Amino acid sequence: MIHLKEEYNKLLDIRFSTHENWHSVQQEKVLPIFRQEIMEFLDALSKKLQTSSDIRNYPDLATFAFYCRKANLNKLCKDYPVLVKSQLGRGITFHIAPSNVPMNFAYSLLMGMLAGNINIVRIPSKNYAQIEVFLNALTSLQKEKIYKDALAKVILVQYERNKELTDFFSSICANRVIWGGDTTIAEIRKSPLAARSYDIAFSDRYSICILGIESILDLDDMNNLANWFFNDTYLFDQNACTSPHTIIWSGNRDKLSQAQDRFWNAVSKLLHTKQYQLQAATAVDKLTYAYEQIMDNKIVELKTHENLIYRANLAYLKGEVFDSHSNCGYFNELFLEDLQELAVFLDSPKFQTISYFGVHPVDIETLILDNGLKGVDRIVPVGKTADFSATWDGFDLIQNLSRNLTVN
Amino acid sequence: MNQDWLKYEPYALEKGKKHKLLLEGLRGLTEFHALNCSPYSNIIDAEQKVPNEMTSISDFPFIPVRLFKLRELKSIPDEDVVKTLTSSGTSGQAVSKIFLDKTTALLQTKVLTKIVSSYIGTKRVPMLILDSEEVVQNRSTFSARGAGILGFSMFGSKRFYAFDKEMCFKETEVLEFLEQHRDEQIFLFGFTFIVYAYFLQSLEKLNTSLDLSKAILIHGGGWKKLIDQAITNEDFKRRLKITCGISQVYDYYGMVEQTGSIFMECEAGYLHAPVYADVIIRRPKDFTVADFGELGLIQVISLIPTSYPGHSLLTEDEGIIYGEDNCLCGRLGKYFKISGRIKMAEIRGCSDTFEGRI
Repeated sequence: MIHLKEEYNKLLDIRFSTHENWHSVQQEKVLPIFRQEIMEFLDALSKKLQTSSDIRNYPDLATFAFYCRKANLNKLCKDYPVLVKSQLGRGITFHIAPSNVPMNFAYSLLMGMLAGNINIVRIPSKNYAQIEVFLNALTSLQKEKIYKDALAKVILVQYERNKELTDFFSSICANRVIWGGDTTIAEIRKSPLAARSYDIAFSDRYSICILGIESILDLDDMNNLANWFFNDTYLFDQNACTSPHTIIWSGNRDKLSQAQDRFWNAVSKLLHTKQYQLQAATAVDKLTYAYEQIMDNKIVELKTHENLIYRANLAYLKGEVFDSHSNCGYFNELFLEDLQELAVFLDSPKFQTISYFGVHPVDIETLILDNGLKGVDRIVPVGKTADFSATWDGFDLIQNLSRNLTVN
Repeated sequence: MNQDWLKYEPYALEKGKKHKLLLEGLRGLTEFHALNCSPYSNIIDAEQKVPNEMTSISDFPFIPVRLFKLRELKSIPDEDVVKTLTSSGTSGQAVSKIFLDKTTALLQTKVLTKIVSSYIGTKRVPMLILDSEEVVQNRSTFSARGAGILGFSMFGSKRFYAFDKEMCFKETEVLEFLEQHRDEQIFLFGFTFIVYAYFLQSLEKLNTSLDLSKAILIHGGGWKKLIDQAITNEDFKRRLKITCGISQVYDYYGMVEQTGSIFMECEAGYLHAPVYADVIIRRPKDFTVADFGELGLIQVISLIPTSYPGHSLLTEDEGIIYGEDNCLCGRLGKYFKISGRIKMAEIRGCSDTFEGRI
């Protein structure tokens, strides 16, 4: 049993726990994956959230509530038919949630629970209203005895940067799930894990989008596509790992600028409808980044739609273009005669999601498989980049957070 | 480079004439830097700007000041660099590097002299520097604070630093200095925050008999720390008046990237653009030019920079222009106020963006 010194306990804000102390947490038992009482509990949580009065104000909360309803969990469970009997949790999962996405922690927790683990989740220290609603739902479920066992697997904590606390949680966990990118990962990794424990770390990634020129010109109405694109990008200030930073145009070169105009005008119109708020600092950041790129000869032309959309026409396709990016609506653009040209630089683990519209996903898949590329974990239609899935960043979270019991 | 513009008094040109003068100056500077600084020339090309075709000073590209922290930008050969100015960044942050040749350094001095003389007169006067001499000891790399003091020191016939190296107020010596020059106009200079935190607050504690009713104080460097403490310019002036009787107190707005062409505060409390410089307020949403009375990002223009492409810059400050050529103080040119530094962007998304979160 590992102890947490009393002085550090004071720096910790335990937002939810049914345990008396950390000993009791360490004694808590694991469960097989997709255990019925966990699924029941998650469904109850889903209902609780969906009936909360605030749900309409928080689409991210609503999406989570919808995701963890029974029907969806049952569907998810079907992906693991042979495993369900002999696959069980590994122990404590310590989740470090990103600070700027209010509901990300909930998905991480959900996966930890479905995988049969006890979960200590470090939630953002900013007090997001969505998180308060979530906490209220947990507290009210606590009144119902049937959820006692499931709730014992949930511990939510908040604390400001503190190595001793991270050391403690790292020392008692079987898995650490680190969100938040390279800097956060490097910092958290200063705290050692036990020998058999391991990290699932979500590092900084780069995502791109491929658009088919003809398909865009063939569309009757651009509004849906613009909306999907918005959800992939501006909804998270283009700062999610899944948000594309480079747009590849594919198709007939002669119609390129016509398609580009059509697409970006639709996006621009939507940004006005949605009243996307561009902060003054962001406007300066985007101009600064554009001028840096121009000074370094990385782009040949810059087009802007007010300051909402920056379009940097890439001078060439080289890996260094992907070393950095801006956000809040800054896109590199490039026309490619042949998508095969992408193969050279997608051979880097940096690449995560390729979203597509008007090109065949199979062609992209083939490109990656045939060339044996180290990059790209997901190929999804425009609008689906942020959809959560149990396989994230190429990791099957259920598998990675559980263990297999072999019986011969 | 044509330096005819130097002959004008700092606040003497009405807007039509001033615009013509600045337009000509900016065309020349833009062309010069495009020829001599290739990163800058890339920007002019990408923005598809031809200096001679521009008809308004608001047409010229503006370089975000942060670029001087990210890149070394200069339009002169290395061997012509006589001085490198750096901004006072807090530890760990990148600092601006501004490369000066003889011509630019000299122009800075000339322009500053023109502007400041119009406030304190052309005669050198005894100068009380509200800082410690330590700040200017290291001459090889000037901090903005040190550079400011050295820049203004030329107006002092005799100079005296009011603080020791521990930043303790040298009360006895200061009183002595004032006694020696009791019949003369005294010029006080300091950084706004230092004047507040060390000078004003010491005086308020000391209960001294310091009489500066005939003195003139010029201070600059920004209000950030004072805004954090909710101290307004009005409070600042009122408390100075109460503690030492000083009533001629002038703030200035300036930056290391455009040393020399500073924007001085007037008796009516507005900052003024001199003939050799200008301000334009831009709307963050599209960088179009804002109307008078409208808050926006501040662009600053200066005819001084020839050794580096700093003649048109986008700052990270916000402000409001209140008018042009019709300030109550009588000075011509645009008059404006700074409302402060723009807030750091708060960005959503799963990549943690702010430091020290972990």
